[in-house]
Amino acid sequence: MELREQKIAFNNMSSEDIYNLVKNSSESWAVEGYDLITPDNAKDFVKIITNSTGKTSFNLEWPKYGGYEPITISSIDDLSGKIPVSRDGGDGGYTMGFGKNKDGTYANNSQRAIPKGSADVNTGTFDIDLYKSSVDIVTSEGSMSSKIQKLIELGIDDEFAEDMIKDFNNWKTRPEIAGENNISEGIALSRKSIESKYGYYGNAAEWNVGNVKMSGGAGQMNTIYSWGTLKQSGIISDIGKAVIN
Amino acid sequence: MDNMLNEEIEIIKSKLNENIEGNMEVYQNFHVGEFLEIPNQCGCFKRNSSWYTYVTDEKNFCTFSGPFSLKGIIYACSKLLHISKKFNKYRFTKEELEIYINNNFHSFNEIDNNIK
Repeated sequence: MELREQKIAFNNMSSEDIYNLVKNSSESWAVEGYDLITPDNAKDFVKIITNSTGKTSFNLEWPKYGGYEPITISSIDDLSGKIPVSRDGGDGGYTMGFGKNKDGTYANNSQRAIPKGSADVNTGTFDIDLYKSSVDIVTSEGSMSSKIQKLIELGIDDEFAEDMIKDFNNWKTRPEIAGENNISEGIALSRKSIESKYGYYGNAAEWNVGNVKMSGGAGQMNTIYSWGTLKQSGIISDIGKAVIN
Repeated sequence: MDNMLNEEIEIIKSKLNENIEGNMEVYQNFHVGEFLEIPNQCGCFKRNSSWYTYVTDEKNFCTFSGPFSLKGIIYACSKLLHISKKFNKYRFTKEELEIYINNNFHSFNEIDNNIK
């Protein structure tokens, strides 16, 4: 069956049938990884896409504009000092939560607009000033070798300097940066002019899907380096873990 | 899988294992010779006679990097595992480093269209 026909067939299925189809597939993560997705609401959360191998696949209908409330999107250029960060995901992602609640806890999943009850998140302290200095080098004109040399002079290990340049090239092609309904399109809605080279921060948008209400409001950042590179380069230190609900 | 591919997979695993405390089994989200398109995974696979690394993020967005030789993929994998300091003798040539930094693909179609 062609993708178009598969999408039509998928869209005609009941929510319970979609839930069971996904749950019993090799991509059960799309419902099992998000325990607030149930047989009652799976139809509102899950979509069918073409994956990187050209085959049909399941994913979630993630919020637009990188999940930000558009009016809150700002440049990381506006930040300074050291801030607490947290991330539900592996080393390969470029999005993280930042800041803490007044009671010292990290934002919960409703605030992050993630449809699951609890999560073990990676935590750390983000050195904004070191990050911005490195971004100035990575995004400057000049040869790769001169950028690596300047990053070394900044105190970054040469191997991780290579990763920073690679990550920046990759970041520019990511869906939240270059895809449909990307962060820049969210910024355009609020008619602001923002320095994009440092990446973005703001607040997660409210996300209501079916019977699941996620409040949003958590601090959120999109950096030009992946979490793994940020850790390895020393921009994120004090690495730890926390449980959020 | 052909014998040559199996041999290369074993070479990659063995070289990585030499420099991992315990062994590679501790990296449960890392896969050699197999592309698993599920969130928060990484690894390497062979396509069209060359090796590629892959990383998936929490939303299952994939990034592929390559093409690499057998020696190149060992170093590229050591970078994925953050143990590249122990793999100095495998460090990228200038050409491989250019590939590592600049070749970020997001689908097999992109790989096939760009790598001849």
